[in-house]
Amino acid sequence: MTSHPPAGTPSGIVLEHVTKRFGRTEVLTDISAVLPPGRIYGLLGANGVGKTTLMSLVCNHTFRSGGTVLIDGEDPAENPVVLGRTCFIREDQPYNDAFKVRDVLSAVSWFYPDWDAALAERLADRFHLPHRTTCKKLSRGQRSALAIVISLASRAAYTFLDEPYLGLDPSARGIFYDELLLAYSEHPRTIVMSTHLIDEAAGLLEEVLVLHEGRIVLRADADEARTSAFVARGLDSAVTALVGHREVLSERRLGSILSVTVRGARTADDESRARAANIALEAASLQELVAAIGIGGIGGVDTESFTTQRTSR
Amino acid sequence: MTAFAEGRPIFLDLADRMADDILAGIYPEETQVPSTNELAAHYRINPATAGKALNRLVDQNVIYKKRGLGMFVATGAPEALRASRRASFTAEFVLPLLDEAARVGLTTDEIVTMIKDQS
Amino acid sequence: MTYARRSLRLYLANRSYVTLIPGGILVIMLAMSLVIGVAIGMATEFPLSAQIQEGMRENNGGAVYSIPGFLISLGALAVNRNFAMALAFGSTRRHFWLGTLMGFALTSGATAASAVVLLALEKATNHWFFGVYAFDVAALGKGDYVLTFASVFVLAVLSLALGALFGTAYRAFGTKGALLTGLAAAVLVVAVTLLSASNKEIVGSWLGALGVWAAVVVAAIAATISIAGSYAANRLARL
Repeated sequence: MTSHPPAGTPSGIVLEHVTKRFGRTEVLTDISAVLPPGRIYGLLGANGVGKTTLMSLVCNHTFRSGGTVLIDGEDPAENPVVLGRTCFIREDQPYNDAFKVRDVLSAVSWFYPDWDAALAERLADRFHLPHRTTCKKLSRGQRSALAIVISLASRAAYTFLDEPYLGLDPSARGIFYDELLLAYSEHPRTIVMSTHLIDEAAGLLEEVLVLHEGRIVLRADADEARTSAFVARGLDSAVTALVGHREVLSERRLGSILSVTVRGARTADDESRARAANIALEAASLQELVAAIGIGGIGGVDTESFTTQRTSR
Repeated sequence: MTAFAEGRPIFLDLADRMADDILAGIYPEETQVPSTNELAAHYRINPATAGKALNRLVDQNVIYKKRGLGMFVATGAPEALRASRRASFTAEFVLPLLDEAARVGLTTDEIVTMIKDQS
Repeated sequence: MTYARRSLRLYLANRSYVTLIPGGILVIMLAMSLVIGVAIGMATEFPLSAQIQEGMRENNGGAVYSIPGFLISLGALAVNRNFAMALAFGSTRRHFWLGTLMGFALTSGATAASAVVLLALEKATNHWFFGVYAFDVAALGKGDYVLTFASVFVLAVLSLALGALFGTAYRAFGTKGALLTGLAAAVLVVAVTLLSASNKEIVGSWLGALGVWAAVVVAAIAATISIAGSYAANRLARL
C-alpha cells in the first residue's frame, strides 16, 4: 500500500532563524526552536500574530523568506516523504466546493497510508458530521469537526491543528480533548496546536511557545508556564514594594488600588509579606500571562533558561 | 477543562490527589494505581504531566513500579503519608489559622472553644 | 499509492470531469449543428442540398470552438479546487501538478474518444439523416478517425493546460499576475506569428510537409509551452 521508504525514528522539527516577510512587512522574525518529536505543543499568542503563518512555513504551504526548516532532519520543501508525514488543516482551509463530506474523507485516505477509517467513522458520528452535505454548506463548527476528524484519523507523525475548535460548543470541545488524548496515547505523534482558548487547553499541552510581534517570547514546559506569573492587588505603595525589581507584565489601577501581574513564581516570603500588608495574591492563568505579554510587550526569553532576569519595560 | 487550581503545577495537584486517595484507602497497599494514560484521559491532561505526578510519588516512595505491570502502592505508604502530613500540619494549617485569627482579633481561648465546639 | 496518483484520484473524484463534460460538450455542439441544419432545411429543402452540405463540411468549426470554452475553465477549476487539499494532506506541488496533468490526459482522451464515436455515428446515419455535418468536417480532418482523435485530443490538452496556467498564475501571483500571464501569452503568440510571417518560406514548407497534421502539431507545441508554464507557476503558488 505504501510507496515510500520506512519512516525510521522521527527526530522532530528544527527551526533556525526563520523569517517571513509579506512585501515589506516582516511578520515573523528570527524564529528558532527545536521541537523534539512526540509531544503536544501549544502555539499561543494574540490573533494575527503569525501562528498560522508559522505552521504554514513549516509545511511549506507558503514560502519562508529566510532561515531553515527541518522535519526529521530534512527540508520539507518538495520532499514527498517528509511532507507525507504532515497534516496541516488551516483554520480557513478551502475544500473542493463540489465535494461532500464523505468525498473529502475518502480523498484523505489516499494520502495517508496509516489512515484509520474506523476512527474517522467513529469521530464523524460523535461530532454528528453530515456525510452528504457539500463543503460549501458546512457551518463553522462542522468545518472544525471535519478538520479534527481528518487530523486525528490521518495518524500523521506531524499533525498541525490551527484553532481546532472554532465554532464548537463546550460539549464538542470536550469530545475533541478526549479523542485527542486517546489518539495521542494510542499512537504517539508530534502535535502542534495553535489556540486562543488557552486555559481550557493548557492541561493538554506539554510545552508552549508564545509568539508576540513576530518572535518567540516564551518557550517553556506548559505546567511551568501556567505557574509563571501571579497577580498582586492592594494599596499602590505596598504592592510596588512587594514587587520590587521583578518584571511587571501589566498593571491596572482603580483609585489607589493597584493590580499588577508579576512575572515569576510567588514565594513564601511574598505570601507572608502580602498577609502583613493586606495585599491579595492570586494566580495568573496562562491565558492572563499570554494576554499580558500581548499588552505589555516584553523582551525575548532565552529559550534555555525559563525565568528571565530582565526588568520591566 | 481540568479541575485543577490555577497557580499550582498540575502535576503537584495530581500527586496530592492521588496521595489523598491512597490515604483514604481507595488504593490499598500493593494494589495498582491508574496508569499515565488512564489518568491523562480521566483528568484531560497531557500524559507527560500525569507521568510527572506518578514519578513524584515514586520519588516519595509512595508508589513503585512493577516491570511490565504498572505502578503499585508501596507497603507502608499510607502510614508514611500520614506521618509527613502530620509533620507539615502546623505550617500548612495552624499558622494560617493563627494569622487570620490575629487579623480579626480572636484570642487563643476563643479559637480553642471554636475547635472544641466543632469536634 | 504513488504520490502523483493520489492527486490523480483527487482529480477523478470530480466524476463529471471524465464522464459528463467531455462527451457533453460535443453533444451540445452536435445539438446546435442539428438545430442550424434543421432551420436551414425548413427554409430550403430536406435533405439539405449538396451545396449546403459541402459548405457545412468545410466551414463547421463548432467542434473546435466549443472545446476551449469549457475546458479552459475546467483546467482553471481543477488546479484551484484541489490544490489546497492536496497540500494540506501532505502532497508536494509537483506531484499535485503531475497527478492533475494525468487527469487532463484522461479528460482529453475521453473527449477525443467521444468525438470519434460521434463521427462514426454521423457516418452511419448518413450525416444525421438530414445531411448535417458536425464531426465529418475539415476542421477535424474530414472524417479521418485518427486525425479526428488527435485533433480533439491536442485541442483539449491545450485548453486544459491554458486554464491551468491562468488558474495557477492567479494562485501564485494574484489577479495582476494572471493578467500579466495573459499578456505574456498574447505577446508570445504575436511574436511567433510575426517570426513565422517573416520566415514564410521555411515555415511554409515545414507546415506543408506536415500536411493535414500541421494544425495538430502547432497546437501540440502550444500545449507543451502551456504545460511548462503551468508547472512553473505551480511551483510558485502559495496557499
